[in-house]
Amino acid sequence: MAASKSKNQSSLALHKVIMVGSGGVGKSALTLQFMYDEFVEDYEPTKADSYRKKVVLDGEEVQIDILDTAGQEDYAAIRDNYFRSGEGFLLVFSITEHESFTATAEFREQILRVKAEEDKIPLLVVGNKSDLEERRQVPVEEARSKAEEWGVQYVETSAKTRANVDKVFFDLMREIRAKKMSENKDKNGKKSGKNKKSFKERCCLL
Amino acid sequence: MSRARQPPLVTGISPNEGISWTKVTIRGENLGTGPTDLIGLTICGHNCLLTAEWMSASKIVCRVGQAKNDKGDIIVTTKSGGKGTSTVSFKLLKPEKIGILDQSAVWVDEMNYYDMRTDRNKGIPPLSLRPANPLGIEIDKGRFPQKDLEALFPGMSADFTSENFSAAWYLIENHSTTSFDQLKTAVVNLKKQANKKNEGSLAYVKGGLSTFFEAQDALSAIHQKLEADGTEKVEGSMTQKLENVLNRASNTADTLFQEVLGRKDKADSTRNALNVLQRFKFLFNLPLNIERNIQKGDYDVVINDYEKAKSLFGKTEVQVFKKYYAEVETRIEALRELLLDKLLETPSTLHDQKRYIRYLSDLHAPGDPAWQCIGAQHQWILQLMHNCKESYVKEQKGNSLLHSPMLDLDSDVRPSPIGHLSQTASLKRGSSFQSGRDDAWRYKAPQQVVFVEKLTKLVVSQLPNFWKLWISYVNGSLFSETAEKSGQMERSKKNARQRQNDFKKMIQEVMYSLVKLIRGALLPFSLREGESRQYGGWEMKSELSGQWLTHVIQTVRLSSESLTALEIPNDMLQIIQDLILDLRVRCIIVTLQHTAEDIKRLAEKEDWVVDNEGLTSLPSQFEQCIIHSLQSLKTVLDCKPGEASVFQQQKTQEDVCQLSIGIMQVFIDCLEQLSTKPDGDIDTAHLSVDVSSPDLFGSIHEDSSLSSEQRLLIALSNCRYLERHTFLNIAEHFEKHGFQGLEKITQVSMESLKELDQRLFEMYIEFKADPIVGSLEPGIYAGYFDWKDCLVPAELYMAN
Repeated sequence: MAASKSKNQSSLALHKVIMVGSGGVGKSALTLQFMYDEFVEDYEPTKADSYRKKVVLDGEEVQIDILDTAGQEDYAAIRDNYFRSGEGFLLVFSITEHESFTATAEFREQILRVKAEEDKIPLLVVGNKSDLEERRQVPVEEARSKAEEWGVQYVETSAKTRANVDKVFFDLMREIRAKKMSENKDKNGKKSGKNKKSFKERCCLL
Repeated sequence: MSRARQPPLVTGISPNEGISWTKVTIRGENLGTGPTDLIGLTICGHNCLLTAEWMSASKIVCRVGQAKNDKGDIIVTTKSGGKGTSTVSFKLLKPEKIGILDQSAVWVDEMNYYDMRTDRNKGIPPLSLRPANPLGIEIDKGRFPQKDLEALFPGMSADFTSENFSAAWYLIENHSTTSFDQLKTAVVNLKKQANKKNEGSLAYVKGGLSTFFEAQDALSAIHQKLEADGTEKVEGSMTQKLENVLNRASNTADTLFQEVLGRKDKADSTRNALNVLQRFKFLFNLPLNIERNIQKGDYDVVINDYEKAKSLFGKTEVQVFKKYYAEVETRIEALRELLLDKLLETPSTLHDQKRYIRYLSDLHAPGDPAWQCIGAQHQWILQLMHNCKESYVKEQKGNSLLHSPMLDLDSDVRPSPIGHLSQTASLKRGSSFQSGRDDAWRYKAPQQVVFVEKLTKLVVSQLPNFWKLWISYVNGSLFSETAEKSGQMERSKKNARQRQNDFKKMIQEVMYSLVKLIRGALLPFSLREGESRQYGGWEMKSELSGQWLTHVIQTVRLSSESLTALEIPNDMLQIIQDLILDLRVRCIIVTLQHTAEDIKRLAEKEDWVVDNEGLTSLPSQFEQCIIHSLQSLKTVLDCKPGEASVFQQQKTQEDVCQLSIGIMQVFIDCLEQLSTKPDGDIDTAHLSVDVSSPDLFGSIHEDSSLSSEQRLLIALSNCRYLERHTFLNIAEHFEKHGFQGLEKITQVSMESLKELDQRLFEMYIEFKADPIVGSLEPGIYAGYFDWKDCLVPAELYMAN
């Protein structure tokens, strides 16, 4: 039974999500809330945590793989490696800390740099800690306009109350799935895709 | 186990990579129902169950072990769900190595630390260990493509450790933008390094240590091989040289590490010494602690510490410990002596005594402190009793010399321990007894009575403690109930059994001296010659009155009751009962004697006033007097529980009977004396009284001087009344108070009364007949009357 299951699992579609954002904004809290419905009160800086489980996305069974990364600057050097493996990103900041919001721009640039060969990267800007409204430092409008500027969705969540937690993960997975499907189409369309790629490689070399 | 549950599934790991012994949090589903349900946990194929900490069905915390695999699954196995799977994996990182001579702030596990000598597979050339930047100036990597460089310098290399090193390539690659000045300093650096190398410095050996080890191993292997072949004997052969080289190499190695190893040894020994000091701090501090705690009086703490030290170091072989333990022993010995002194110190409370005895037994004091304490207590009680007596005797003597003023000192003269005792007295005697007493009483009371009171109080207050101490001693509760005392308990119980008789003797001695002292004070005649000197010594001015005796009896009775309440065996108290009986008898006799004297004095009170029945107040006064004395004897006569009747003994019975008869006789004598007294005596004595009280019956006044004829008549009337009423009443009273030999008393007294009656009547008749006879006689003899011719008149007396 276990064997068949693992076979099943391996055959399922796998979406790789990476949590990005400054330290202490609640990346791990969001992940753990999504994965295990639990809210962790005590803060322990993450190095790099892996999570993977089966979820039902729009009636289809898929696997979500979440890489919870370190927000601290100490780990900035190893981020490149992580980002390379990611298919979609949740760019998290805390609405109670403006610095974490400004930092999102740098994170986004790093992602774009690493993923330079891809045209549209599935990404959501997430304003966490929406339950701490009284300590808000980042106005909704400011965040929303920034997201619009980048052409991405902006969602406010609360890992504590679980508000919008499922939504951000599922919306991201949908974007990843849509992107994969379009890529498959491209592949099926053969030549055009290949041409594009080879062209890109050449560009890179130059 | 049923497999109804789902198998465990690991879906999360935090963090997902790390070196060995990294703490990881594993999350997932069905990770077991409890800590005991978790029966297996492997990470990268290594079993981590030992460090696993089950938090919940979705969370386990553990440490990653020394796995062989770099990357692998996390497999959780539970009793309820079987072997599980994981969707995530852990990546094991190689720990960063620390050089053998590098300093490290953290502990490096040497088991996992592999020796460079054995790490041959790596085969690091000594030169590679040198700094990556040999020129000692900033490296500025240029953007020259490798391919171009390779094309430029075919067959060469930029690696300065390789044989076909091209300096130009290296410079282009690393220092393409470096200034000329910079390059000049680089040359200086390079020269310096080269010089260093030529000197064959220690640093050079250090740098290539692994190579040297390797070389030495190889050479010694060759040497051995050659030795085995037996070719080493050839002088000047290759092996000779090799051997020399080897020896020198090992010498160099030795000098290299000698200092380090020496320092390590020194550090180790220092650390050991510190450890010993730390671990056995307890022992080293113990003597001082004992001293302090003794001063504070925390004997419990001392005993605990001592027990601990004894069990830890009692049989130590180590010199230092022996020395300290000996010190501890001497202090404890001093403590034992101190405690023993305190224990034997008197006065002391039962509580303190018990406490000290317990301490002593805990300290394994030699001998039997409890028994010593009992002995000391015994001696002390005896001493107190004698002191008490001495002080009162002295006081009495002082009083007799100086008279009244010394009485005031009564309370001050008393020895201080007794004052102390009255406060600590654990048993209270009857309150009525105490409350009815005040200071005035003390002045009135004879010294003996006060003494007896004090003495009994003393015994009653001290004996209970003494007795309780013994009881505790017998049942073993004197010793601490805790641990390993069973042997000692047995021993002490055995002791107690053996000493039962000794203790009995002690109690008896106390009782004996108590009784003797009381006897010495109150009944000196009941003591033997030798004893009276020891226990007596009172000045017998006057006998104590019955009243005081009654009081003393009460006191002794109450103390006897108190002692009985202690459950002291009756046979020990018998002697007190005997004393009480003797006192009672004495009291009765004294009282009766006093009564007799009182009655003798009644005669003086006869006023010859006759009431309408022809009686004077004398008979009723007599009756009153007797009733009064009987009443005062009531408490003495009554038998308390456990007391024998006073009249049990034949002798006492006879004595009492005789005394009673004596009283009757005295009264009868008194009557006779009154009736036959010459006129003048009584009248003069009596008139004065009458004059002073003129408002008495007038009729009596007129004939206050009664003729002897009238007196005889009154006496006769009184006699008759006595016979008819008073004596009967008195007999009744005697009976009511349980007197024996009543018939005899009544009979004898009635007889003597009748005799008196007869005598008085004859006297009266004679008195009346005399004038008639006087007038008749000449007539009779005138006619030559002769009694011989006359017939004896018959019935003449009766008719008259």
